[in-house]
Amino acid sequence: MGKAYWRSLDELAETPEFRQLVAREFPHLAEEIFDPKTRRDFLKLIGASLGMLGMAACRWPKETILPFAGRPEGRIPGVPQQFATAMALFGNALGLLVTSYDGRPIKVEGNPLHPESQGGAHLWAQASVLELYDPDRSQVVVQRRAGQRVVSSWEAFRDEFRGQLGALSATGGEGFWVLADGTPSPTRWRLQAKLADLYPKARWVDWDPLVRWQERAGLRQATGVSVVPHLDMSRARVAVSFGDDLFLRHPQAVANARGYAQGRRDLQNPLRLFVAEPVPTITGAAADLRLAVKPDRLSALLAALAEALAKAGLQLPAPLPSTPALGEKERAFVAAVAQDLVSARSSAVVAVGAALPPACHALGFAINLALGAVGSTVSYMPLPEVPGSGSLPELREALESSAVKLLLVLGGNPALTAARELGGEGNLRRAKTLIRLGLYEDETSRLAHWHLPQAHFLEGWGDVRTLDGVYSVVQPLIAPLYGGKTAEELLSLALGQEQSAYELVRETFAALAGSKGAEQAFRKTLHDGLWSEKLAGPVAVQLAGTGWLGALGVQDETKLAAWVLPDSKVLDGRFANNPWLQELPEPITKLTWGNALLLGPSTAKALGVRHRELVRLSWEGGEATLPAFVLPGVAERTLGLVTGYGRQAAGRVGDGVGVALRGLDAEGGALVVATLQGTGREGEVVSTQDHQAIDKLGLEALGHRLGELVREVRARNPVLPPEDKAELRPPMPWKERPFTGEYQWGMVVDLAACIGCGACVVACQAENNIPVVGAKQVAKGRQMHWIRIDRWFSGPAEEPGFAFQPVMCQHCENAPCEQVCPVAATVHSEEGLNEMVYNRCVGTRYCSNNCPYKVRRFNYFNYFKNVSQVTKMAFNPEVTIRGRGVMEKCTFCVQRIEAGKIAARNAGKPLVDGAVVPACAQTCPTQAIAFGNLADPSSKVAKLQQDPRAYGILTELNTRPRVLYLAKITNPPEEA
Amino acid sequence: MTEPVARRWVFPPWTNKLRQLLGALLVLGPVYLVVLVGTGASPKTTDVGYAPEQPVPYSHALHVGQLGLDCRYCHNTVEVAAKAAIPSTQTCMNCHARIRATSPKLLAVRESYATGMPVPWVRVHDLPDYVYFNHAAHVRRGVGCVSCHGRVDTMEVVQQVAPLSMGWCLDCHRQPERHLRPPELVTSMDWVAPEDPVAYGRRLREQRGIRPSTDCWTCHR
Amino acid sequence: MSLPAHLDPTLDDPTTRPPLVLGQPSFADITEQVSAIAERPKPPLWWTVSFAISLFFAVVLLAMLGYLFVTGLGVWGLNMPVAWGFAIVNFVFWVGIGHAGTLISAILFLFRQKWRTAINRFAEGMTIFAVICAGLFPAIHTGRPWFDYWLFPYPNQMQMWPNFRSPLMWDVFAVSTYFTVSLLFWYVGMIPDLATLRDRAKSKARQIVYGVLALGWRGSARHWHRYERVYLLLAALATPLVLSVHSVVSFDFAVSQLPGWHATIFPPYFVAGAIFSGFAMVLTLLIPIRKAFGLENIVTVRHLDNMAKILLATGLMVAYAYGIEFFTAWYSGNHYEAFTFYNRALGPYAWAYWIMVFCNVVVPQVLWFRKARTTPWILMVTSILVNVGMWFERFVITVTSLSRDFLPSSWGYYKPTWVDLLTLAGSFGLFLTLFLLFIRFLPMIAMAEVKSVMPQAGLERGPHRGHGQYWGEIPHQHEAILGGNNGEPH
Repeated sequence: MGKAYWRSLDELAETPEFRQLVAREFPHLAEEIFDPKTRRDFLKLIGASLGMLGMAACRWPKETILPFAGRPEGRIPGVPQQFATAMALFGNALGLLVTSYDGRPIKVEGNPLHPESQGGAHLWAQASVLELYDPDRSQVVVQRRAGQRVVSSWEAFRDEFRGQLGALSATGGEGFWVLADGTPSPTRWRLQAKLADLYPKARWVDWDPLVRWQERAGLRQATGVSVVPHLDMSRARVAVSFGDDLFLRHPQAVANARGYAQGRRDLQNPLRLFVAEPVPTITGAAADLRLAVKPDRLSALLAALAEALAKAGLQLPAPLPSTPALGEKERAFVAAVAQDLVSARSSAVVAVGAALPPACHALGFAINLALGAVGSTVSYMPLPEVPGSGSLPELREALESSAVKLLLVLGGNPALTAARELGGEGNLRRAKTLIRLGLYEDETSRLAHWHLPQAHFLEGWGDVRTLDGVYSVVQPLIAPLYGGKTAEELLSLALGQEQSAYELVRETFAALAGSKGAEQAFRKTLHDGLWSEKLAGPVAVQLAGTGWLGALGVQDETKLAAWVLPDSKVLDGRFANNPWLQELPEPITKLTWGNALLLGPSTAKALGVRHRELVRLSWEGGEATLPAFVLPGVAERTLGLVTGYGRQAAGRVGDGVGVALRGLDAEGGALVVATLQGTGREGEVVSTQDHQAIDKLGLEALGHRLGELVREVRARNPVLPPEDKAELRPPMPWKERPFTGEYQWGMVVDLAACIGCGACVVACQAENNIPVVGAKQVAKGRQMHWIRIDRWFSGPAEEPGFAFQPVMCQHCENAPCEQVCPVAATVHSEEGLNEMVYNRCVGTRYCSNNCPYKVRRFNYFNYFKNVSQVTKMAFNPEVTIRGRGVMEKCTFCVQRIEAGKIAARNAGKPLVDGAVVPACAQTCPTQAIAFGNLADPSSKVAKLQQDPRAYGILTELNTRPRVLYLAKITNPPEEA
Repeated sequence: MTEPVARRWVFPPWTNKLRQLLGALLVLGPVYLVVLVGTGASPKTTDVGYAPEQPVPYSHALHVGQLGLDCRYCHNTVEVAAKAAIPSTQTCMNCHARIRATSPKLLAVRESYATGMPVPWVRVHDLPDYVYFNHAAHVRRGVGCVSCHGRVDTMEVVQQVAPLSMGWCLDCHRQPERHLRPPELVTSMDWVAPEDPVAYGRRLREQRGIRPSTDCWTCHR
Repeated sequence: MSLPAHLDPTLDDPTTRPPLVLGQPSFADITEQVSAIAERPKPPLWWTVSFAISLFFAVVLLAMLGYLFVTGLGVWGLNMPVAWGFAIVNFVFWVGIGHAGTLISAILFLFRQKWRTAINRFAEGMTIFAVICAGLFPAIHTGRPWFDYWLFPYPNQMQMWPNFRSPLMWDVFAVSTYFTVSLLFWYVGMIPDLATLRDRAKSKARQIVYGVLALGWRGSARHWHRYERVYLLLAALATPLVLSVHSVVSFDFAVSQLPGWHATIFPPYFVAGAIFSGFAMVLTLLIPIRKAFGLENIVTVRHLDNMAKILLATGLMVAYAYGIEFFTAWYSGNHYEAFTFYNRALGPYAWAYWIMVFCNVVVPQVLWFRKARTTPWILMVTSILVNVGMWFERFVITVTSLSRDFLPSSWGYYKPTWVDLLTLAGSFGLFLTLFLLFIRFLPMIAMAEVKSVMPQAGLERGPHRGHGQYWGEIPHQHEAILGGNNGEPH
C-alpha cells in the first residue's frame, strides 16, 4: 500500500527527449503534411459534397434470404454451435472449443475437459481464427521454374511428385529428406513409420524452434532416454525458474498459469515463485523474488544452487563444477531458494529456460530428482521413437554435399527459423527438388520448386498428442478455404495412397482404440475433444551418466551479452501476419507493431544510449539496427532481443514490421554482442502505455495515486484495511433509486492471479469485432482495445516490482459518462449495465472526457473500410460493426448475457451462476476475472465482492463501479 | 414634395397584399414542413404495405387460410431460435413432389431441389442490422404471430402490416397485455381473447411473470 | 493627440461634458460621412486586398470541412484521452468574442452609456459573425454533421428524446437563442439607417435592396415609438443572455468531473473572459478601420479610452480567476485537482499556459497608463495579444485537463494536425469575410443614435436623461432630423 509505482523510465529521469517533446510545440505537423497517405485522402475533397448527398437514403435496400435447399438435421440458422478441436504449439497440444456460426468458425475458446487448457486458452489460440481467414494465406499451388513463379495445380504437382518418388523408390529413398514442423501428431508418426518402411534410406527431420530441443538433449544426456518433462504447477508450493517463461512461451503455459493461480489461492500455504532471468517476462513479473541476472551467469547460478542443496544433504551428482564468486544479490537469491526448496522437497519444482544449454537442463533434472519432485510436481514422458529420424546438422551436411534429391518441407518456415543450423537459408536451394507445404508463400516457399497451400488446423482433419499423452482429434470447422491439404494428406500422397485426412485419422484411431466400439469412442473423442485413454504415461527415469557436468560453468563475462527469445506475440515470426497479435501490447514493454532492443537504465547510461534511439549492434555472423527501449529489470550489461520481426514474405500485415535479427537461433539463447553504438536518430517505438513521456511532476503524482490503484497485501494477512471497503459507496446527496432488474451484473478482477499475458485482450477483440487500427494510429493513441492491461513498475529501476491491472469499462452505477451524453446514447440498464448504443451515438466524445477510467474508445476513422471479404467471415454476427464517429467500450459481452437470459427463460429455469461468461473471463488461464449476478448472494462474483481483498478504483468520485479488484498478494521469502 | 415621398418608400401599394401572405407563409410554412417530413419519413409511410414480388408466387392465403397449415410447419425454428427460418426447398417438396408436381409456378422450387441452390426469397420484414430481434423470446412468452405479421392467412402476397419502428416496439414492451395469449395459441390467426383482452393479457402477464425490458441493450448491441 | 485643450476628449470636466462627436459636425455631415462609406462605387484597395485574403481562408475552411466529413475525425489531432481539441477551443473562443457586441449594445444601453452609440452597430455586427463562427464548431465536431439534428428535441418514431441533463444540450439552446436575439437586435437597430441609405440610393437595385431591408421605414413618430420600445425590449432580453450564454458554455466544463474543469468559479470566470476577449476584438477591428475611413471624429480617442478601461477591468477579473483556480486546487486538498494545475504551469503544456498568462495578465497592465489607453497603436497591439491569450486560455483549459486526468496509464499528449490549424485559420477567414462585407455595404456606425447624442439633438437635459424616454413626445422637427433623410429642414 501507498508504494509509488511509476510507468516508464522517461518518468524516472527527466530525459532530454522529454524536454524536446515539450519544447517542440507541434512536432509531427510537417510529417503530416508531407505524408503521401494524408495527401491522397486530401484528394477525396472533390467527393465531399457527393458524400453528403449520399446520406439521403430513404428505404432499405431489397434483401434476399437464401434458405438451405435441404437443411442438415439439427442445424438451426443463426444459432451458434461449438465443436471441440485442438491446436499444436510449442510441441504440445491445447484442447479448444470453437464456436461456429452458420458454418463459420468465429471464436476459439479453451476446452474445459482438456487438461492442458481447463477452459483457458493462450493468445495464439484466440488469434488463430484471424489466421484462418487471412486473405494473404497461400491459395494456389505454385511452381518455380528457373526462379519463375508459375501458378500450377494439385494435379500437375501430383504427376511430377509421383515421377520423382518412382525414381527414389529404386534406391530405397536415397536422398529423400523430410523437414517437418514437429507437430506431435500420432497419425503423422504412423505415416512417418510407413514412409521409413517404404523408403528405408529416407531421412526425417523435425524442426520447430519452439520445441525445447536443448531440454530434450539435456534430458537424454542425464537420463539416457529421450523424455520430456511435464509439470504440474498446481501441486507446487515452491517454484523456481531459471530464465524459463513458464506462463507464456512454454508448452504448458496455460496449465502452468492455472496451476500457479491455484497455488496462490491456497492461503494456508501459498505458492512462492522465484525467478532468475536476464530480461523481464511475465513469469518474472509474477515472481515473489526476482533476480535480474546476466544470461551467461544463469548456469553458474544453477550450479551454485546445486552446491547449496548438496550442502543441505540432497543427493546431487558430483563433482559439481566450481562455481565462480557470486554477487551479493545472487548469493542471497541462491540461499533463499535453497532454503525453500529443501523445506518444500517434493512440492517444489525447478524449471530451466528453453534457451539454456543442455547441461543446465540435465542439472535441473538432477535437482528435481534429488528433491523428490519427480512424480509429484514434474513427471517425465517418453517421446515416440520413430525410425528414420535425422537431425538438422545431418541435413545440412547432405545439402552441402548435394546429396538431397527430394526435400519435403512440411509447414514451419526453416528458411527463417533454421537458417543458422542449415548454414544459411541458401543451402536449401541445393536440394534437387524442394517441395514446400505451407500456410503462407513465405521465405521458404520462395526457395522451393513447388509450394503447396497447407490446410489450417481449423479446416483440415488431424490429431495431436499432449506431452503427457492425451489424444485429441483436430476437427475441422470449415472446408479448406483455399483448397489446402494437411501435411498428413501430402505424406499419404508420398506413400502412393491418396487417403483423405479424415480417413488417415480414422485409421490411426482404429489402430489405437481397437475395433470394438471404435465408432462410439471416436464420436465421444470428437465431442469431448480428447480420448478417454492416454497414449503414454510417465516413465521412471534415473540419473544415467554425469558427463554433462563439465559443460556447466560460466562463459566470458566481460562482453555485452544479449538474451534472445522468440517474441511473446508473433513467436518465431509464424504469427507475423496476424494483426490482432501485432497490435496486442507486449505485456512488459507495451510495445505494439515491432520489436526493440531492451536494456536496463544503468546499462543504457554506461553505453550512452537514449530511450527510443536507433542503435546498431553486431554479433558474430550478423548485425541489426533497431530502436533502444530502456526497460527496468533488465540485467546489467545485458540486452533483450526477440526474433520473429522484420519478415519479408509474411504478408501485407507482417512485412517489414519490426527489425529482423538474421542468423540468430530462432529458439533463442545467450548471444555475445561484438559491438553496439547509437546512431543518434530516433527510432519508431509504438507503445500503448507511454504515448507521452512523463516528467518529474507527473511522477510525483503517480506516487500519490498508484498505491491506491494497485493495492497489495501480504500472503500472511491477505486483508485490506476496512476503510477501503467504506469508500466503495460514499453517500449520495439525493434519494437513491434502486435497480429493478432481475439480474445485477458485476465483475471481480483478482490482481493476485492476473499475470498480464494478454489473452483476454485478444479474446475480447475476437468476440466483439474490435478493429485493428495500425501502428500510425496506435502511435497517436487511438488503439481500440476494450480491455487495457495497465503495467506498473515499483521500487528501484534495476530490480523493480511489477504489477498488472486489467482495466475495462467499470459499469459505474453512477456513471459520469451517462450524464453528459447529449443524445442519451449511453444510459444505464436496470441490470446495472452501462449501455452504449452505437446507432444512437453522434460522436461528441463528451462521455470519454468525463470517464475517469478512460476506457471508452472512439472510431476516429472507418476502421473496417478495407476489410477483405474473407476476413469479414471472422466477424461475430451478434455484435454490431461500429462505423466511424461512434464511441464504443466494454459491454460485459452483453450479447452473451442476452443469449443466456433468453435461453434460461425459454427453458423456464433461472439463469445459473457461471452460465454467462464474458470472453475475457472465459479465456483467462488463471481465472483472474469473475463475472456474474450480484443480486444472487450465492454467486461467485457476489462472494468475491465481499472478499477482504476487494476494492474499487477511483471510488472516491462516487462512481460506484460494478467492477472490483482483489488486492495483489505478495509472498516474498522472509529474508528478502 | 409628394413625388420624392412616393419615391422614397420604394414599396409600391400592391406589396401591401404581400404582407398578409408573408405572415401566413411564416406561420403555416413551418407547420406544413414539419407535418410533411414527419409523416413522409415515418416507417408507417415508408415501410408499411411493402409487398415485394417473390420468386415463387407462394400464397399464404391458400396454404394457411384454406389448407390450414400451421406457421411452424415451415417456419419451424421460430420457437427455439432468434430467426424464424425460411423453409428449405425440401420442406416445399415434402408435398409438392406429388401435389402440383408439374406446375410452372413451382419451377423455381423444383430447380432449387434439383440443383441444391437456394430459392432467393425476398425479405419483407427487414429490421436494421443493429436491431437484434429474437422470435423465440416473443413466441414463447405468448406474443401471437398476428401481432407483428398481421393476418398472413389472408395474404396472397405477404406484405408488411406493422411499421416495425422503435416506437412501435416500445409500445408493446411497455404494455404487452393486449398482445399476450396462451403460448400454445400463438400461431392461431383468428384467436380472440375470451374476455376483455387487456384484463386477460394482464392476468397472463402476472401468471407467466412477463417483464419486457426497455433497456437499449435488449435490442441494440 | 493634437487637439486643443477644450476639446481634449480624455479630460472629464464634470461641469461641461466634452462632446462625443468632435468637430461639431451637422447631422447632414454625419449622414454624409457614414453613408458615403457604404455608397462609394469602388472599395478602397486595402479593402479589396484584405477581402481577397479572408475569402481565400474562408474557402480553405470549406475545404477542411469537406475533408473532415469525407474522411472522419481522425484528420484532427484528437486521440484518447484528449477527445476534445481545437474544435471546442475555437467554439468557446468565438462565443466569447461575441459577447462584447451584446454587452455594448444592451448593457451599456440600459446603463445609458452614451458613448456606446459610436461603436455599438459595429460591435453587434462583430457579435453576429463571431457567433456564426462559434456555431460552426459544435456542428462539425462530431465529424458527421448530418446527425446533428439528433441534438434537438423533436417528436420521432423512436420515441427518443435528447438527454436534457447534458450541458451540450443546453448549449444548443443557449447559443441558438443568443444568435437569434443578437441578430434581431442588430437588424432592428439598423432599420432607420437602412432607410437613410435607401433614400440616398442612386441605383434602382440599391433602392430596392435597402428598401426591402428598411421595411418601409418612414421615420414617423409612431415608427420611432415602436422602434424605441422594441429596442428597449430587445436590450432587456439580450442583457441576461450576455451572462447566460457563456455561463452555459462554461457548464460544458464545470459540470463534468474532470480535474481542472469541475469548478464552480467557471461561469463568472468565463463571462469575464468573454467580455475581455470581446472588447479586445472590437478594438482590434475598430482601430484600423476608424483610421482607414477617417472616423476619428465619431469613434474618438475617448471611446478607445473607455474600452481600454473595460479591457483592463475584465482583464483583472480573469487574472483573479487564474489565481483563485490555483488557490482552490491547493486548498481543496484534492491531489488530482492540485496536480492538474501544477501540470498546467509546469507540465508538458506549460508553454501554452505561460503564453496565456503573459497575454492575459501581464500585457493588459499597460492600460493603467493613460498614454497607453489613448495611443491607438499600443491599444491595437495589446488587444491582439489579448485575443491570442484568450484563445490559449481555452486551449489550456480543454487540453491540459484531458491529457492528464485520473489514471496515469491513460495519459496522453495532443498535437494538432495541419487540418486543425487550417480550420482555425479558416474560421478567421470566414469571420473577416462577413465583417468586411458588412462594413462595405451596411452603415457601420449607428447614424441615428450618434445624432441623438450630438448637442443639436437638444436632448441634453441633464445627466440622467437617456435615449429611451423621449421619443414618445419627440418634437416634430426631430422626426426629420432623426428620420435619417438627408437632413434638409422643413
